[in-house]
Amino acid sequence: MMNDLKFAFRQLRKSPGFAAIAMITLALGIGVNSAVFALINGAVLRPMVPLRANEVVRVFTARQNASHDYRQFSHAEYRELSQNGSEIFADLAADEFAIVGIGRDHDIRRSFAFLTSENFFSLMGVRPLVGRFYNAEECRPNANLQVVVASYGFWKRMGDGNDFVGSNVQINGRPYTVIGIAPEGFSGVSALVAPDVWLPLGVHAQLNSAFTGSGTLHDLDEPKNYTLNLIARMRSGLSVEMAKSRLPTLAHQVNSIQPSGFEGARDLQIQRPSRFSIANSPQDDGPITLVATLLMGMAAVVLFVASLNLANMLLARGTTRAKEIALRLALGASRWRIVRQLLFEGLLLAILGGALGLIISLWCNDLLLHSLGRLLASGSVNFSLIVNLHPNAFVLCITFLFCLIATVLFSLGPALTATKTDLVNDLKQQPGEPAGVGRFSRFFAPRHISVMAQIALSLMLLFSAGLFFRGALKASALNPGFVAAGGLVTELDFSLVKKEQPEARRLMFAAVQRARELPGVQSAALATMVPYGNFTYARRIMSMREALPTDPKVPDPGVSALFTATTPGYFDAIGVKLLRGRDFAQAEAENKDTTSVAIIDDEMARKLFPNTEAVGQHIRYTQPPKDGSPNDLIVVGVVSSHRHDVQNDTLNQPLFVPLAQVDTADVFLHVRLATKDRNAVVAFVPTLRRILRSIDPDLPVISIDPFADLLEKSVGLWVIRVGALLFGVFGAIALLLAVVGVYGVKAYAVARRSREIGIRMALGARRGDVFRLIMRQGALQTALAVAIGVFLSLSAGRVLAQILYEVSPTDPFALISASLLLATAALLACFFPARRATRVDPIVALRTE
Amino acid sequence: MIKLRRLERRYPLGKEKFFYVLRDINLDIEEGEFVSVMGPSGAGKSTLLHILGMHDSGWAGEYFLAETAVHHLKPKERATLRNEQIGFVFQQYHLLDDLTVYENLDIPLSYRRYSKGERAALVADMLDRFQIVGKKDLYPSQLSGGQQQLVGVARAIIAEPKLLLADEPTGNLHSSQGEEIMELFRKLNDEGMTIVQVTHSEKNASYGKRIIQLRDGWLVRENR
Repeated sequence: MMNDLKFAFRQLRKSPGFAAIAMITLALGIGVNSAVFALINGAVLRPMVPLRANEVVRVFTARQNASHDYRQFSHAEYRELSQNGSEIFADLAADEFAIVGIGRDHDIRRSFAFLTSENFFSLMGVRPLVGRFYNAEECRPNANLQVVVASYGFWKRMGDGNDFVGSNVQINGRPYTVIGIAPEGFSGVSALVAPDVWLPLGVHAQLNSAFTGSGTLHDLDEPKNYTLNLIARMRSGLSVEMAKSRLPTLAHQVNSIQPSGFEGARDLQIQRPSRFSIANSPQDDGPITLVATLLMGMAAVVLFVASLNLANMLLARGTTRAKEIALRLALGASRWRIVRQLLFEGLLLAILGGALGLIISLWCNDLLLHSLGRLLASGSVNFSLIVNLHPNAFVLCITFLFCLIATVLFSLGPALTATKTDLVNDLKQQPGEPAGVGRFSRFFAPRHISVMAQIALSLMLLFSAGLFFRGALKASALNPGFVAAGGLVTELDFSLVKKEQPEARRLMFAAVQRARELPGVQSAALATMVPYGNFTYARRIMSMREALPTDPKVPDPGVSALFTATTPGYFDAIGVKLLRGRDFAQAEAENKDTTSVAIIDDEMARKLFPNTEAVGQHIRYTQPPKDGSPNDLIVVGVVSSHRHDVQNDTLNQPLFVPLAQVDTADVFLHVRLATKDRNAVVAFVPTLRRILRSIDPDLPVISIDPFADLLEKSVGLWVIRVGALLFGVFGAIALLLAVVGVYGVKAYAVARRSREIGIRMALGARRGDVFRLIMRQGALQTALAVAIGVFLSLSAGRVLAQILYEVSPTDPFALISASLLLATAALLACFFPARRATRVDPIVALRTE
Repeated sequence: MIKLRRLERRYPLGKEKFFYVLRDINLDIEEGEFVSVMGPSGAGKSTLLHILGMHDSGWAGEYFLAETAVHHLKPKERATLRNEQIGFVFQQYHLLDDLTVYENLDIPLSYRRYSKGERAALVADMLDRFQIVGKKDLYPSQLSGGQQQLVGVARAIIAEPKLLLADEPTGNLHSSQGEEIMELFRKLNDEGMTIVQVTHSEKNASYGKRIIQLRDGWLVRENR
């Protein structure tokens, strides 16, 4: 075995050119696979729950009607389930997502935070890295004991000092004592991101009332305060199905404790926790799993193409080594012994290529993480990215497996072929083609089949890349229905500073007013949501003409609407046209007690009032406001339709209400300048910042960005572009490999056919005839491979259809471009060997006999 | 038919040093002649044949073929002249291994201006003339050496050349097969075809009407 290894090393040293090309080919194939696998391992496979993850489930509550209106749990419901659910749950914990302001004065940064019950950490199976987690007393509703557990990432960002535990951190304007640090890599309920801090449920009211001050709505003891998500560890030995069968009894108990005005009987549901979504309804990670599978599939195709490429090289090498192999066989070596030796050479190449591939994969994934980190850092909310894409033992093992697979793929066939020798002939080392069995057989010789497979598979990858590029181009060129150029968006979050609500409101309106008065400003307005922003809030609405169903089993008849509260001038500020009716009045935006009014867009108007003018009609929420305010809004205006997201959002049309109708601390100040020049817009930022500071130095300005830049930072757009980039890389590598493969095979074929070419020239063939001979075969093989590739591409398109953006899975432009690109590249790869063939000297070729 | 004057073929050996394969060859071959070129190995026989066949273009001197000054022709014109006038038979037959007998015969025609129908007719005629119709679908590896050379000769004359060049046509054949091929050459010559063959065999050379002796690149003797 060691001798084989030594000999393999010597063989590679003897042909450094071949070894280098083979290693680069393998490095590309294995590197892509390692990179994708590390990505999938980090995001999809790595267990989110460190301890016996299969026992942990999310618990949901849904109304027993057709539309299953999901909501979160009240603290009372959580208590009830904790106390009486022991037959199903070994442990049950509550958690709530929040955004908090960490720091003081001008150094406040918003951060992701999770409020949890005291048993959350033990349920997940983690111990503190340093210090302790909070206790039951600290988690008691309204305990208001200001303690905090820092995430590992947050501790690192704060300078990872030894005295961090015990220090104070300012959260939403109050001092919290750091009591512990969560272990590295622990992200809680998300596989990708970890919050900066973990807080006990006991500070829930204090944290939320920082801005609004309306205490009862934020009191965890309030029975209608449905704010908690539940996560449970099932009793040992209980399957999800068994647990599900026991849930109705528990649901009945929960229903029995509902307060007056009970909304109807509810069911309990359980599901394995989603890795990427925090929601009050069961979420399916299927699309992510599909993307992961597709990525891995495409990467596998790249490895296969690389292996085919290398197999061709080895087939060619096998021919040149035929004499050596024949000699070994003549000296008594068994066929298996030779095959083993050739496999060793392959494995050595694969391992060297794999090591190089690992470096490539590390580099690629660092780039990807860097890009993701930059995108998320621009999101003005802090958290720690948990995805670790550095190769661990598992990734290394899988990479080694890729090496083994590649070895079998690329070296077994050539090894078996090389050892199936004609001893006498090979010992004489007669060059040239083997005894003929026809042009058909030569056309479909293994190396040609292999190269045709490479072309076909590469076309499939190129077509897939083309589909994603088309999507990315469409997403970039999409008309959103609003005008981003010339707009500036400033985010203000008053929950981060100690301001009472009236004062905060006064400052918000003062900011709008001062912005409007600035020279060069066309309009300015406030809104609670920004188009293409990463946070949305939806409510279901319906026409007042239709009755609210009394039967709880009837599905919710409402239409889902993206809910935005604004001030007058908002539509001018974002470049949306008021088609009919009027904008909100200043009084409506400032005073909650005026008549409730709303503005909808053209599409929503058509949806709610198909044959009537929408302006003047009345609408209502299907879930009445919790604060008891009237559930009747008059539509006073209809605006032109515009998108909220780069993704298809026709299902979610907007509903606008005056700002006074919502208690919000987080608002966006939209300013439209008279110019659309980006430089002028960027140059205006310091002016705007100075004016805002002049209103109040403590104004919580989170960010000021050109509107156009915000669109570019959209996560949806990033996902589409990264998809295009990833598939583009696959396509480019496959194209490169295919071109190298075609060139290699053609060059080899020309070298092998020099005798034949010489004969043909001696019989009257001109250079043009020889050129056509080589090119014709190349063209026919390319045409056949492209035809098969088109078929494969269309099949791949059907699989990709689910994750494509606004592109038909049979997009003719992508298909034709990919086919032409590949055919041209393949023919170009044939061109040079064909040209070389025309320079064959018939005398020299014939004398090689 | 052929007129060579001061024909020379040399290869550079170093700075201003040359190795001469053919030196000062002056030769006339009339139409309808059957000439055998003889000489020891390395005498320049095959080189002379390849020059006559216009496979080799790196020579100096004058070469007239059917009154055309080959030495003044451009490569394309030489190729056209070659295709019109010359057929070539090789010692190793040089049939294309993955083409059938029929397809091998068709190759020279495919490089000349023949229609598909004419090609089919000529191939059929040739198969018939050489009595190898039954072997038209066989591959060279399925034929004996003699049969392969028979196909090689058929292929060389299928485009009706005026001059047939043969480089040791029987070198790889046993005597009876060799005789068969030489008889065929004699017959072709009787029909008016000019033939120049390279051979080591006195017996085969005797089939020709004239023998030319080459030694170290010099034309040393002519026997009629």
